[in-house]
Amino acid sequence: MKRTIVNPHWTNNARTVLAAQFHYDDGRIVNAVISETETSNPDFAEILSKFTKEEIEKNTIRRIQKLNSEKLTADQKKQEEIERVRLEKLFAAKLEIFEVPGIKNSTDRNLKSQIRKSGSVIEAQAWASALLIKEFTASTAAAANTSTDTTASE
Amino acid sequence: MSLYNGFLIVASVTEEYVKAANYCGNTIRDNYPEAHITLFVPKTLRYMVDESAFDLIISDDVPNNTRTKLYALGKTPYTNLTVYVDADMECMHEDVSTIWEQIEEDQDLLITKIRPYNGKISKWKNGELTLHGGFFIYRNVPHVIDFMCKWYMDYIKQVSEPWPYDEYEYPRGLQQWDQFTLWKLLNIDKKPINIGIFKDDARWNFVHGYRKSETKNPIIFYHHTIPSKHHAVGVL
Repeated sequence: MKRTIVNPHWTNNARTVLAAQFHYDDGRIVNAVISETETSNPDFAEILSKFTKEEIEKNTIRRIQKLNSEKLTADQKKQEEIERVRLEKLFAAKLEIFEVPGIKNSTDRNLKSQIRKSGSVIEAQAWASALLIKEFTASTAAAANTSTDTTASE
Repeated sequence: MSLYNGFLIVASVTEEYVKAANYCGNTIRDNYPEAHITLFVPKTLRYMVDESAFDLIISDDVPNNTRTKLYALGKTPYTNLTVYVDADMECMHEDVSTIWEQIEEDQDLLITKIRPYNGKISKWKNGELTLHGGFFIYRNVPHVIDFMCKWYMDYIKQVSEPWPYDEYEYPRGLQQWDQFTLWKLLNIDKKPINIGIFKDDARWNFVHGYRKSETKNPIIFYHHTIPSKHHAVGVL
């Protein structure tokens, strides 16, 4: 059956293996990988007779560029998905931090703002700890003062 | 005292929305301390509200359902411009204070666009949802307030009556969306509302799932997703 050879290109650095599409008249498209053999592969010979080395080289470069671009897009998508998941986890962690009574009821707007502006869960937790320590210190000092006042008045 | 420009947030149905609204209000305040922020919240959830996040909290007669938002829009306390912000949004940049300069004199409503790759339903035989109902700024002028009230009333009708459309032309999946009501008001009822789109709109409403390439500038509002958001809880 009659066929047209489309986009032949090298698949290895040694330039010994070709890939191409064979478009048959009945509509079938076959992706073929063709190697030179000791007895000479007729497909290999046909491609080299129909296409110049420059054409095959040009196709090869285009193919490499396409694969690199696809890989880059896939990598970017993967990175963006990782970042999306990270941001949602960070958001959930911050909401949870603000459920802690010592933080929820604190009036220290500055430290609470630092928690909200944190870029990572670790940073948010660190600011949350700072706020809790501050609140604890303040409440301990207030309790000590109350105790001293009571003793003095006795 | 008359309130001129401000932000309107709505929390209803579950405690998660009040927690998110508290967070949202506080992040606006972190980045724009002078902002005036109003929260609409049903009385049953009022106990959860962080009072430091809001200047005005409205609970009287506020219904508790998935579209309390639409109820609130027509009752804005602001006499000039209102920015509606979904409760699950987070303000991330101080450029939020430039919001009032974004809307042109002749515009009634300034909104952001949906990214079809990030939506559930965006296109059907007779139309396409292109406007994102989660963040917009609008004017307090009679025809715009009437429009907001109509949006609410028509949405109630939409979700409480049998789907009146041919399912082939209008998929039943659209019935739950207030954005479809918005589409209907603009495209079938032809309500004369002058709508604009934010410049660099992804910056103003960067929805979870958007590609990084949507904006080159720092994000002002990031739109998170509360897991139960699209579930039919407490419907009308």
